[in-house]
Amino acid sequence: MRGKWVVWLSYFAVLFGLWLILAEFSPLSEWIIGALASALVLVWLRRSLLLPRDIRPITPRGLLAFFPFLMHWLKDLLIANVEVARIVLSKNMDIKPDFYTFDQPLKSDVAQATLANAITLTPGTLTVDYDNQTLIIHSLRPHHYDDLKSATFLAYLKAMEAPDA
Amino acid sequence: MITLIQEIVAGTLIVLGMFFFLVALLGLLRMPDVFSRIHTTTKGDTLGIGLIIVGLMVLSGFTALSLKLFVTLVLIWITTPTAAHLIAKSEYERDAS
Repeated sequence: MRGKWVVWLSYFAVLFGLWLILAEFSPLSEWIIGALASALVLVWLRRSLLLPRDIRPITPRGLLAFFPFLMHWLKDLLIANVEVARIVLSKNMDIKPDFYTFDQPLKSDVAQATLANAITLTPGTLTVDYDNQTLIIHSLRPHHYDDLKSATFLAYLKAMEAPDA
Repeated sequence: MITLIQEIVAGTLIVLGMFFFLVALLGLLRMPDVFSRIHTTTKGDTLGIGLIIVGLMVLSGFTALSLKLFVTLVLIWITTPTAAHLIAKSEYERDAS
């Protein structure tokens, strides 16, 4: 049961750290209130938080893959915005919205959620629904869906999830 | 001198952020259906708020306030697509039924 305590402690550390940042690290009374509030939130959410059996340990290689993922994702976010801005500001919006399915290769819940969010924030695509291993995606133009299949951040997400592969 | 550069950079970022907000708003009005509207608002909001917050961080320098702004940015970047999924999913199910 050691793993369980590590997970709860790290949840507590995240909440308490957030509190400290928002309280700008002062004064001491804030620290006590923050610790109490973090503990209360954990008790309140004890059923809905991810439990140890759902969490795969983060490996150093997984952590390393996170930063290139973030960089590529930020680049995609910029391109997405410029492209959507061009569509919105064009005189006759040349769009052909449609639904597509996307068979995603990831297994863990956290990686899947990250992928769904990343898809929503990349050019012309939006995650609508999820069914087993398939994501239903709404795309503004057909080529946006094709771009998604060759998106670079997918490879990094895979590396983050399966460090032994 | 530093403050002048700071102010110029921050001002540029904030104006750019406001531009993307404006585009998101225009898209919300011009797009033909719910899904396409979600496209413009999620992306415009994400980059818009990102640029504005980064601009404010530049303005406040290396302080606790900057850290606070950064936390705000991360939380918004996680919650915006999640909210978009919820709207899209409910519209999708309404469409199907």
